[in-house]
Amino acid sequence: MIDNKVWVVIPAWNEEKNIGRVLGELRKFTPNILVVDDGSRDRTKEICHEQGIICISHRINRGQGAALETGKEAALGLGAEIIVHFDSDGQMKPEEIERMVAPILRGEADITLGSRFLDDRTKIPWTKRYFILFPAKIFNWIFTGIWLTDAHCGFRALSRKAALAISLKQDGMAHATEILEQIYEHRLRYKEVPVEIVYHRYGQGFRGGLRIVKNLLISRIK
Amino acid sequence: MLHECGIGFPLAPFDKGGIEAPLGMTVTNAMLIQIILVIFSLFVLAKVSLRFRERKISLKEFIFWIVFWLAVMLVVILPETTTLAANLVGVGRGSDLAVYLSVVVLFYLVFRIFVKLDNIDAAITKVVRKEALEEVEKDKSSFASSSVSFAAEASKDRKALEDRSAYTKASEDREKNRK
Repeated sequence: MIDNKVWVVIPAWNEEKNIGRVLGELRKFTPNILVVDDGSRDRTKEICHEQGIICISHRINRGQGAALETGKEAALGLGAEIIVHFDSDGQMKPEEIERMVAPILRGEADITLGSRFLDDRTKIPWTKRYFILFPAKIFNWIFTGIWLTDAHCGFRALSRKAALAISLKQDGMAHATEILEQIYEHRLRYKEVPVEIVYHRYGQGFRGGLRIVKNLLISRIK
Repeated sequence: MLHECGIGFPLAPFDKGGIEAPLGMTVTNAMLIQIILVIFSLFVLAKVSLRFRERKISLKEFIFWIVFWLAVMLVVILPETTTLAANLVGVGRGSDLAVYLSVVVLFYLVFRIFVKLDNIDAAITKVVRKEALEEVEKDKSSFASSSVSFAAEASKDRKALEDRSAYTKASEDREKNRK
């Protein structure tokens, strides 16, 4: 169904409750799935093996950015032409991979970024939207010069060219902003694609946001 | 000095003005701490010189510590120097100057620590990643897709470039430190 050269990279940390379901759904669309187990202490890795899915294990937890980078290295080595970032918590919809990948296949963009706000299917608590996401968008714009409708959506698709150009140094959640920085630096063509995220949890709270700012400032000063 | 602070510490010989010492000098207890600190500083200076001779510290470090401990001795023997230095830069008291300098130095040191920690984090991730990828390489047989190959040409080329430049940089640094 999905092009053979598309690889889905799923960073996972202690997701035994969700990963089985997520993989089950995903497999209906493509067999090219790479799970990066970021030092999980539960049965995440075992569940992947049970389903015959490639699982790359970090011995200790390094952060989502690090996991995505590891997954990218492996995917490139497997000859991936397109790499899709997909969450392990079941909040993303596998059906939407195709529309994420389409602009790249059509040659319109090097990288597509999912946005929860291009349409209004996604329901977000208003505190999150106005107190966390909005400052985050401003912050991204100050740091990277890129204004997106969604600051922090983990649903992305990268062409091989973009994947080779972007190299993530940020191990933690600041990688989202770092990706934008590098998009700007390498003048990659990006496009936002509306996606629906199904919410169970709050995600990065304000404290998480502060930690991200700290990480980025340190990397700037270095 | 103790008397000057108003602490009535009963040191009998000093109460009478001081102890008779060689060379016709009178040792007051105000000088006690100064003597102790100067002796200590000389001791440290000797140790530092030894380390330098043994090549355990670089010339830059040696000079830094010599200057530092000479400055300590100067301030101990002539406390007025701190006031002099303070007035020179427009600060009222010597101790104020010391605090201002300390704060600046501390900020700088903390910044250096942050950078160091960041570098350590990156190094750890590099090691963890390498091991993770190698481990998967070994278990290739258990995968669903059969023709998997981690002969990552792109990644290998990029890594080779990275490693080469990291290695040359490391040896350059080593050369510099040796001088």
